[in-house]
Amino acid sequence: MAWTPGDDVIAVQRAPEPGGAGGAYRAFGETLRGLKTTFARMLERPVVYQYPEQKLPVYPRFRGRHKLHRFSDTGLEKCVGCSLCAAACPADCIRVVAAENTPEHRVSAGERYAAVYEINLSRCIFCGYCEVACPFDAITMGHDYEMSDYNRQDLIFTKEMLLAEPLERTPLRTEDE
Amino acid sequence: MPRPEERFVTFSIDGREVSAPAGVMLADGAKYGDIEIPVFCYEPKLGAPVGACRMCLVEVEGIPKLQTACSTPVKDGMVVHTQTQRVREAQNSVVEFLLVNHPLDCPVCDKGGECPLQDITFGWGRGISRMVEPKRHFRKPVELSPLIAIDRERCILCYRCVRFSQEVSEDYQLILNERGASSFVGTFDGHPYVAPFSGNIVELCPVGALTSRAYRFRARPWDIEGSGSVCTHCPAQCNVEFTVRDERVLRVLARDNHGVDDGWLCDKGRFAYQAIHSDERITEPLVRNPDSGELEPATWEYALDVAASAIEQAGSSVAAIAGGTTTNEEGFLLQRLVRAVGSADLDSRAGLPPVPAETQRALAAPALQATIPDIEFAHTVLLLGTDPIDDVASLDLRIRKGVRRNGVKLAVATSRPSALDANSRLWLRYAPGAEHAFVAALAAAVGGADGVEALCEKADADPKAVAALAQLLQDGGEDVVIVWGQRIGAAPLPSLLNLAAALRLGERAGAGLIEVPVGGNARGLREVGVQSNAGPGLKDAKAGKSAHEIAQQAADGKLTTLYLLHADPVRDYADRRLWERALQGAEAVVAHATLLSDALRATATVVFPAESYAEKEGTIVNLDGRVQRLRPAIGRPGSVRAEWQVLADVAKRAGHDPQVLTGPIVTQQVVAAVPFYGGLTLEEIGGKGVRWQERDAASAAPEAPAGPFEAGEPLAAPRPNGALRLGTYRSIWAAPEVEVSPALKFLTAKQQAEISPVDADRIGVDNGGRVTVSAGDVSVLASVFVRGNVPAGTVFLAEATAEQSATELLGGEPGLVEVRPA
Amino acid sequence: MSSVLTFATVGFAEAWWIQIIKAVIIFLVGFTLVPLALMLDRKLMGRMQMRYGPNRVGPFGALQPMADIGKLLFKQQFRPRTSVGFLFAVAPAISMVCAAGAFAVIPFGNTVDIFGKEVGLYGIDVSIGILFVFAFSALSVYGLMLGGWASGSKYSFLGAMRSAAQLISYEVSMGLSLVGVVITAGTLSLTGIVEAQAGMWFIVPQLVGFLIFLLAAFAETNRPPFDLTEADAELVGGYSTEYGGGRFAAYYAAEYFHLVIASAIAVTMFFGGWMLPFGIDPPQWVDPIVVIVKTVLVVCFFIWARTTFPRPRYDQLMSLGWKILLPLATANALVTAILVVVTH
Repeated sequence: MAWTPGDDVIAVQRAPEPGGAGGAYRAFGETLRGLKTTFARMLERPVVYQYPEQKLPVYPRFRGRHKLHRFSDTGLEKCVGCSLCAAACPADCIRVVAAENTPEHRVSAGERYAAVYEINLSRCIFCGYCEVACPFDAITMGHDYEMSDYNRQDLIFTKEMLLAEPLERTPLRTEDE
Repeated sequence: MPRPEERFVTFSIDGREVSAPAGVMLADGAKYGDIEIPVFCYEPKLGAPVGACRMCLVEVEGIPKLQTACSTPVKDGMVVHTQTQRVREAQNSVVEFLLVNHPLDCPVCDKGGECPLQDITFGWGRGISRMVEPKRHFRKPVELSPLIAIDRERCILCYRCVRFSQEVSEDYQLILNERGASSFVGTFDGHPYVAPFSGNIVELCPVGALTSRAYRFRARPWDIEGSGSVCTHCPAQCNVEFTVRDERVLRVLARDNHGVDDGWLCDKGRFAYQAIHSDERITEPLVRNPDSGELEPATWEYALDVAASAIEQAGSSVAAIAGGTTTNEEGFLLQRLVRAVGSADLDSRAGLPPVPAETQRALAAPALQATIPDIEFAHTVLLLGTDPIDDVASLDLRIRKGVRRNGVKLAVATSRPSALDANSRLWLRYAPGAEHAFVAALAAAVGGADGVEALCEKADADPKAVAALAQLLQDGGEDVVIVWGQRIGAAPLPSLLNLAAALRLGERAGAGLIEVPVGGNARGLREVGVQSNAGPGLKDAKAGKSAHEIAQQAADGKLTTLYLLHADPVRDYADRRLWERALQGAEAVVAHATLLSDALRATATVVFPAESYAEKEGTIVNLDGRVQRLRPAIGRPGSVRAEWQVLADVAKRAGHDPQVLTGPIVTQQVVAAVPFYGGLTLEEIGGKGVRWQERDAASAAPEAPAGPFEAGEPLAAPRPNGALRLGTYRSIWAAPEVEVSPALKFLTAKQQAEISPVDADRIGVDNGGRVTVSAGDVSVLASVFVRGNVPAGTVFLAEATAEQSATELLGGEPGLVEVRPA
Repeated sequence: MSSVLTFATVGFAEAWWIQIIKAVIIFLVGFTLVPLALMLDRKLMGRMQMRYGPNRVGPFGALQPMADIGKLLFKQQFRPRTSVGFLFAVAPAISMVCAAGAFAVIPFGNTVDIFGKEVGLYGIDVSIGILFVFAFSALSVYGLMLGGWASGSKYSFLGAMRSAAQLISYEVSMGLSLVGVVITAGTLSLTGIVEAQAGMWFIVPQLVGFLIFLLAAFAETNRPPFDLTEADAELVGGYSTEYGGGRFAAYYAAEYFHLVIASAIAVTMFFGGWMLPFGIDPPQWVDPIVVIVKTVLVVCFFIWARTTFPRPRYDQLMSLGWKILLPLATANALVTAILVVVTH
């Protein structure tokens, strides 16, 4: 069946063909219009943030640097070292080595805990799959986005670094912002 | 029982015409039509199916109820449906039912990611559970043994582990306690499940109920890589798969090869991998500092120079001994070097007496060679002078399988009681050291010759039992396989060949001899010429000295350089004191070792760090001539170099460049030097190995001399006269790799004097009591193990234990010892 | 020979030591204008893009050019292995010298009386005036060409090729666009031209010439939107790709020097030089300030245009130069000539 356009047709506005005196006139006019546009911007206030002093508030679901969590009541780590985050990670930047809890040395609530938990943030693409994969909500994406460093080695975050709160909290966007 | 003939039947499954061998179960037959039927409890290796889990229900036309595919054999014209609504509902319900009490702690569970229960729930489960009630709880995790942890909540009661214990390894330890939902797997009285093959149940368990304690929480399936190779800890050479994470072996799994191991591993093969990453391993060359007299780390250049100059200066007074873990390639380079400097003093026989080249060629005849699967299908199997559980572990399971499933008639003729006595049709004992007399008696009995009585007298064996054994071998069926231990020595071998000729073993494909050597690759080393009286391919060569003669000469200071390739003669070989003197007497001792033994620490001039079997590249030869391939699974630690390279470098510096640049070049040289390997390539060997007897080049095997062989006059076993005859054995657990593996350490062999109840009463000791066993002025301490099957007047001691080894007492001929309470 | 020399006579000559002092002062003024232009470029462009521009170094980021120059000068000097050493080093210097040379003839005022000495507020008032400027600006092509070729890099070489073609093409239009002014003023001397604008700035009678000059000036100074020689998006950095540190700073400064000179020429030729409109006649010491302020304003226009317009394709640039500007400039010169003849 042949297709009938019906009401779907949208007339495309085309610019006049260039050339001739009219073209030159239009080109001149457009040039002036461009100059006017940039000049008008100069009279407005700059919209940028003064970054280190003034930080951009992030949305609550912003995917920044990861955080590992503890249970608030017992202080035990939520992570049991199951490595599912490492399996889900498309950038292969998580390394988990698990170990067994003993009554004398209890780290997590389950039988096993993560003896080594490292995220190579220089590889991380902040996709949040680790957070989705985690069966214990032990890892979440935090709001911290200030992670630059002088040394690549320092971008491999260990479990202790991930468990600790970031030194400076990133401002969170309020409801009306 | 002869091998069953394969006959194919045709049946229909899900509308496909599929033909499968008759008699296989539907669960296996469906695979011929590329249809998968989910199973938990079904495992063909375990024998008859039990249908415990009900996962494999299928609809068979003509039968009103659903049938378990694992226990329904395929029949001609059968019509099976696996995708109907009924089947799907049944599968959904079974999964849901299994999960009723399963804790679903997959993130914590070691099986997570490689778990059949996860996979089948994902593939055939309902996806949701209606279960809201609390689940069954057990205390967990519990140690089933120091090697295995059991989590009873996760168990789905498939019976696999229990069946393994009851029907495969036949240790009868695992049972199912209690009834119904309270059932749990355990031992009768909570005793730890310690058995030589216990680790297999970890691999069998379809859920995370049984997990390895050594591998506990070490890695996830997506963290690891599998790497296939071969275990070299014993001559069984089971095929294994190393689980590797971050360049470390974390686990060893069985790699099913029916021709070798039948898919089982012993606990040593499964857990001794820990020795690879032991802190005690040597990872750099050590050279003795002439000033301080201590072994000190040195550069490779220096160590190679020292070793090469020691060989160059010694010239024809170089002697070399290769241990069992040496590959064909390393052995070949070693014998080339030693023969190039004009010596022929080579040995790889673990201190046992040399066998004349003629006899060796007769024994190596392809027609006389039985294969390992032949054991399973023979009419009669005779175990002669070997106990597989100690000498070649996984063969033990193979013999049990033949006896249990195929009605193989087993006869055991050993000096020491064997673990297989209970399974045998008949067993008999002879005096330790009287193997020659016994084999001559048996050959005479089978051949109908005279003098059986006299020979039995010499062997201290029961003439009636020998006659019964001869009867069994002759009338039990044509396919007779004789599994004989290299430990019986050289003297009985002509009689053994006569016996084989009398039984016409060379004429039938399923009959023959299998030698159980001492040392993992002993057969391969002999074939590539690491022995004093035959060169590569068992060809005649300039005669040299055997290990014992080498030791004598070195102790007398007549030998200048001793090359020990993975060999520790002080620990492993008979007459420990002689070897200690030999190592001290030699001017230079060059050794390759993974662990530094006390003897090497005291006497070695140069110690090269050896590769572990997970790092090696090369070939080895199994009991029945199967050439197998070692492949590197991990990188070498420290500055360890490939040993073929070390040997080639030493040879090059000593002025005999072997023209070797890579490992495969050595393999090519080996193949070129051994006629019956002709044209063998690494590709052809592949993952499963290839028996050289089955290749065309086997026709190049050395011509076997025709019998009968001159048996010689056997010596009589000494009369006890109040003293006890000394017999020795080598426990599977008496090895340095067991001692340095944390998981296996608890199994390390201690010296134990096995004596008969009669002698125990006479001496006045009981089980666990301490005794001194002394021969002349030498004595060892042992604890007593009173064993009913030990013939009176005999004591058995373990060799190669770390301390108090029986090799101390073996100062030449096996003699009499005094046993006194300590 | 002598006729040429006669033609190139100097309008007003001082003692040699005054010449030297003037040269130093003018050079300093020029080199103060360069960082100013650089700063203006970044700040103004920033504001036009609704951001601040550099604001960290000094008050309002005013010391940013100093920081940049400091950084560039102290960087390690290196060159590619395929480069030609001597030419590679000398090319930025050529660019720099040509730019500074052209500045000598820019008049900041007429002759003034300082401590009893008659001093012209310009480096030198040669009678060939505007031709001198063109000569130097044409020479600066060598700096670019040599730099691009001596780098031994294909990006640099392509950038140099482009710059040579572009500069030569627009040199013609630029020259012709000023012919109208010269005819009207009747002199080549720049002071003469300024004085000829006493009644009316030449921008009014020579509007077409001015527009052509403006467009050509963009191309001559390699400023966006006609920065085809650098075109960082396609050529990495053009002729200066392989340069770093002090040599790069020389190129960079030369570019802004050219910008300042083009603006000053525009002021001289079309905006009445030191003169103020509406008959305002300030004291003579204000003259240089007037010239500088006017120059800065024209520089601001350059920056404004840079912020606004995208870069044309190379063939578009060439066709604009040869097919539109050149005929237009020729016609302008012709019409002016006819009008001058007719009115006289």
